[in-house]
Amino acid sequence: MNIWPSVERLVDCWPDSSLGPHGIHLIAVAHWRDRAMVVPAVFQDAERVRAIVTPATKLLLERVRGLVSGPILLIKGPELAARYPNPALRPFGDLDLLVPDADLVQRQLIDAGFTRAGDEARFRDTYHREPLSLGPLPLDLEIHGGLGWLPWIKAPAPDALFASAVPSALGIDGILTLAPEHHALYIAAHAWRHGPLGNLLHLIDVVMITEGQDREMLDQLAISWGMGPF
Amino acid sequence: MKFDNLTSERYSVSPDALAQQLHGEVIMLDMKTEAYFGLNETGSLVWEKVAAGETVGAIAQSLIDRYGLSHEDAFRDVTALISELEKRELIIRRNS
Repeated sequence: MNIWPSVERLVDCWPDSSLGPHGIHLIAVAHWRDRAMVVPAVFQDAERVRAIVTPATKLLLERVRGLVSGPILLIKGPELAARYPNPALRPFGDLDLLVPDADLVQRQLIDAGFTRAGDEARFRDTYHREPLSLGPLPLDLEIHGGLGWLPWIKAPAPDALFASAVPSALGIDGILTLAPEHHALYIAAHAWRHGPLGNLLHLIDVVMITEGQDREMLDQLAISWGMGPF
Repeated sequence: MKFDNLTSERYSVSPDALAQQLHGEVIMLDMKTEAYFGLNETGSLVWEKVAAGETVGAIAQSLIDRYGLSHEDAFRDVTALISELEKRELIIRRNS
């Protein structure tokens, strides 16, 4: 499904102030550059930060891999970006890592020099720990002990997700990600959870992650998880 | 040939420098000072060659070949940028 002409039509008619909240400002920048149009300074800055996020992602993941044993599953952000025609089109501000023992990994990272970037108490009972940062890197880490599904979804336990994990699209040794069908359903659930399908970037993510997947199989899996047809 | 003593020098990119190409330029984050800055097209070419482990002489020759600079100008520009990057500890002189 080629969604890009439609997305570009939206970019052309939306005010600039709507692009950032919908996460499509970098798509807009690429579209404007293709047409030799002026790029507002604020979006040029966002583009530069996104550029640095690429090596920062690699550095952070390699650092975590070197500090932590056991499986590490990278979810959302860079895994989704890797499926875009150009990963730089997709912004992200943190790395979400699913691990078997989030409390242990969180402690190991803090002991190794990562600093808390949020309020610990606020995250105590959630599926991920408070964000961590490392020096001036422009993205945080979130260590997940589980995934934020919707209450009515009968999603598999993390153990089953680890068992079917596949290598990350980033090609970093020892970094895994969810099986494509699990990731697709999680991204769809996530798009619903953060304001039901109200964010354009989330919708684009769903299209990108399902590209090339068997839709019938996705439907069956979604039904078996209580999500209804995909 | 006042630059001859530098021509065989090689440098490595510091682990404190995060760099990425963007539209033909290099965007950089200095992890120590937390400062962002950019290198223009010529600076980006020098950075790319430094990162590839090329000697100062080879880097200057690249500028001569690509931009038609004189030998004197190419060496002056390359050594000025390399000195600045070394001063900021974004590159490290390799032991020969």
